[in-house]
Amino acid sequence: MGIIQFHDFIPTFRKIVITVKKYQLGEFEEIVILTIGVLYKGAYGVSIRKEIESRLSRSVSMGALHTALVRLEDKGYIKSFDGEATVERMGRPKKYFQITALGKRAMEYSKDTRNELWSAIPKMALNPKIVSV
Amino acid sequence: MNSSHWPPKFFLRFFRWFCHPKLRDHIEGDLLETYTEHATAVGKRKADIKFIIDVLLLFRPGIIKPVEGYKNLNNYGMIKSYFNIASRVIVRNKFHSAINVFGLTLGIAFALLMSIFIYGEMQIDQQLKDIDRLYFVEEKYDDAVVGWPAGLLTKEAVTQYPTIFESYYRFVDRSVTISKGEKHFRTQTLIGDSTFFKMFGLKILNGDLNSALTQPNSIVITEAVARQYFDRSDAIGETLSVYTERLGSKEYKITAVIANPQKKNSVTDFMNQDGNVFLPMENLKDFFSDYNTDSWNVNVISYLKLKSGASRQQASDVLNSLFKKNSPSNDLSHRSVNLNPLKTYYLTTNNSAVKKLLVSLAAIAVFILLLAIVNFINISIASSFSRLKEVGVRKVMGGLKNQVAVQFLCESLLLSLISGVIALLLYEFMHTYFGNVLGSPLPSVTGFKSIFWLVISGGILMIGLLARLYPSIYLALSNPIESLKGKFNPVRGTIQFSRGLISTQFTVTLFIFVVSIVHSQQVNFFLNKDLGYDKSRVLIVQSVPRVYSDEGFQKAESAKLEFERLSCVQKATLSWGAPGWNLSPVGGKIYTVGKSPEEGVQTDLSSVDEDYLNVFQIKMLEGKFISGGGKNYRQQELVINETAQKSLRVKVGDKVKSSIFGEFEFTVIGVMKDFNYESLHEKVKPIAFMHNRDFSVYRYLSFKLNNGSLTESIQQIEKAWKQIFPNDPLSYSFAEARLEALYTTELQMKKGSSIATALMLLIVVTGVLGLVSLSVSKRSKEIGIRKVLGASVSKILIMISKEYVWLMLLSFTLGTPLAFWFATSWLHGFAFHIDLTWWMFAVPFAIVFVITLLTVSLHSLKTAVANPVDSLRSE
Repeated sequence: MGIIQFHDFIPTFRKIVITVKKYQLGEFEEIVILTIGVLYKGAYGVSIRKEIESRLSRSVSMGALHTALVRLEDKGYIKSFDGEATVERMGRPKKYFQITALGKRAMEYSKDTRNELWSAIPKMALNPKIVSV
Repeated sequence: MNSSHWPPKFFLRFFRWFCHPKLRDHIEGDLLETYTEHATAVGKRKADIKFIIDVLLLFRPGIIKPVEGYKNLNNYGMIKSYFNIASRVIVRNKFHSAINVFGLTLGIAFALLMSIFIYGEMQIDQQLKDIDRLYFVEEKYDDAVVGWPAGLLTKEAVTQYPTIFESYYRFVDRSVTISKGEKHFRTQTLIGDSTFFKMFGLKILNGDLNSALTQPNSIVITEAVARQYFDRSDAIGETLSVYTERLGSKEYKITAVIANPQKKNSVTDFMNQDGNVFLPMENLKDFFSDYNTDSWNVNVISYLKLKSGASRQQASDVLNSLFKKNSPSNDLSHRSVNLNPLKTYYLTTNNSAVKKLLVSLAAIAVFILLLAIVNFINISIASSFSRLKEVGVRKVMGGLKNQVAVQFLCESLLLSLISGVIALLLYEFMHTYFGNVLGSPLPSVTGFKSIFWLVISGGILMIGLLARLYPSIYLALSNPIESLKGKFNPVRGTIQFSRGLISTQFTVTLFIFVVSIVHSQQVNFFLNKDLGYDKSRVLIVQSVPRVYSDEGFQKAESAKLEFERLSCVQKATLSWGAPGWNLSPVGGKIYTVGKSPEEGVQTDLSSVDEDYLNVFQIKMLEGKFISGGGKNYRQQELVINETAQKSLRVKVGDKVKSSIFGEFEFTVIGVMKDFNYESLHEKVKPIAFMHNRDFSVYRYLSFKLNNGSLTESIQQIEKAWKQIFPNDPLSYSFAEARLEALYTTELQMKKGSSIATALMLLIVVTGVLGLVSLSVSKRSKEIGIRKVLGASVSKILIMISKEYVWLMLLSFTLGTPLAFWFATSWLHGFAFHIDLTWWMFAVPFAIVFVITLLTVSLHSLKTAVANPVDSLRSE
């Protein structure tokens, strides 16, 4: 028997906060979760990193990626399950990620808000001539 | 794998050290995979550098293991699972959960209502300052309290013994009409000492309390009164005109406004009079020509405050010696002064009526809660059969005994929590209604103090634990192998235990039912008994302006004649008191001429007029009633009641003397039939009547109304009133309503106990329902076999009901003597009471019996008529 410590409740607490603030998805987090979607069943640390690097031609550090993954999992947008251990990994297991229903909703929400914003921009504003004046 | 492909060991170790263990393996895998790839692509050195950079960039919050430790040091997960499983079980067994929640909700809600009410009643007077040192002073004759002490007693005590007594307060109460412009209200007024506010710590809003009542012609009012007359609380310096009994309308200046005192208290609300206006003692002469409270002959309502540290015994001794030394009374050996602590005064006054009420209500609330808990226990025990396999699996998988027990406790905690929340909601909806029923407003949930919440949540937890303690321990102890095999060897005594609980339920219900019936019969008896006078269609007006002089009396008498001319009024009478309404202001010994006062009989004395007999329809036994009007009217005549005649042993025409009037001789001119002029708690006491004119005093104008619409009669009287007394409001009550006020606590108890009986029946019936449904579902195969072998539906119903019939009979034999004993001893507390009859026991039993059997049969009917094929078919 142990004592319940405060930090045990942090994930639950975060979930509550997130639902209150609706879907919170950072810019990099969004890229990661989209990439997980792209990779579908093959999304694990290395593959995600490679995919982002090749598609967006930006370098991604292991630290940034894994922090984002941990945050996404805490928020309940993705879930993980252990995969096979390969020779290249010296026997260490892979961890695959998958988008949850909540994550899907968060992505849609993010996309919708962007689309909304896009459609709200007056056409004139995007006219380079006027912008430059 | 080639050893040259290993990344720098130091950084790998560093990574393994700081990384959160949950992430360690797969991130390490990612790192190594990338490293291997790099090493083959760009060479070991570059790969090493990239590896180091990656490791260093991983060193960030979110990846680093928490400082507090990362292992699950607690069973948060387990606790979560307890509640998960519990909520699933609750949802799965909807029917039984509903029965449990229903019973518990009713129980908790009722207990909540009762405890809040009881708490409120216990708090009465407790807000007064230094309540521990405040005493109410009573005069006793032998052991009976006969009234207030001599006016000078408390004053002398404080001046002569300042080390023991701190201060005193005495007051004389008057119901007066107070006017400001066109606003006239009848208000209870306390004319008393200036120590009042300081002594009781009443909160002041405006003005100076120390000097508030020191000047004559000053007046202190409560905030409510200030708003009534001025629509604001700050009314200092304004004047109010008070209709005094001697001087007529007189202006008083407001020197202070105090906050409204607690609704019920034993000072301003002494004997429910609800005093709101306070006048200085000096102004008593405005009301009475000859009423000196600083005297040993006049008795005044008095309070004393002891110095802190002074003992009650010491104070009482000093008071008594002072009393014996100074009192002019001639039977001092019988008389004494008693200090009654104000702290408990409200609860213990009137033969501890309130205390008894509170104790009974508390007992009922506890009983109801117990019944609900018993339901819970019984259903848990009965349904444990179906859970036995689950327990077996848990144990085989390594569940500990206490974990299994905790699992079951969690279920009951969750149920009691749900019930608690619903009960609170129920309370919120019901508290105004119950406040009205019980005659004292109950606070809303939002007005609960934090201590209430603590007690409520503690109570709910306790209930949850209590309800499942036995079943959970008993399930936890069951043998996993046996239970997995599906063999159910009930722990010895479980069924007996469960039956014992049901019969306890039945016994308690029957007991409360009987007591409630006896109680309401007694209350009905109180209200319907022939009291020796006719209380129907009698309207009593309290607000006749009281001017106690010959002139004032004549005016009141002529007003009476005016009212008698109204078509709705059959007869009117002016009197000091009315039956059930403070009939007698004074009492003294009456003795026949030639005997010593010690041989006399303590007799109440009241003043009435010649029409009293007609209004209240009281019968004369012999002689005639006080004659009224002009020439026939003679002074020094008395009419006594039967009781007084018997104890005095006098005849009509005998001459008697009274200790109150000294050497005056009175002639007994008539004997009235006894009538209950006080509540039926007490026997009829000796009383004597004299004519109002002998004193020029009167208080009430009572009307006997003719048949016809009451509202129309009242309208007619109101109209006439406005013409006759334009400056006084009309305040009246019906004699019947007044009679009910005499039995307030009994009526409260009657309502409380009938609600409780209904609740108990509901809870017991739902409990039986739950048990029957369980036993029927358990025995469905057996019933099927019986039907196949030729049993009829009625036989099956009898078989199922038989158990309950036996239990009810057992409870009846246990409960009846208990209820009989209780009811008898309770009834003996009343001078007039009903006799217990057989039906008071038979009817509750019959009702419980029929309801239970109906429930049992209706519920089992479905199984009994079902086609046995359905229950016997194996899938």
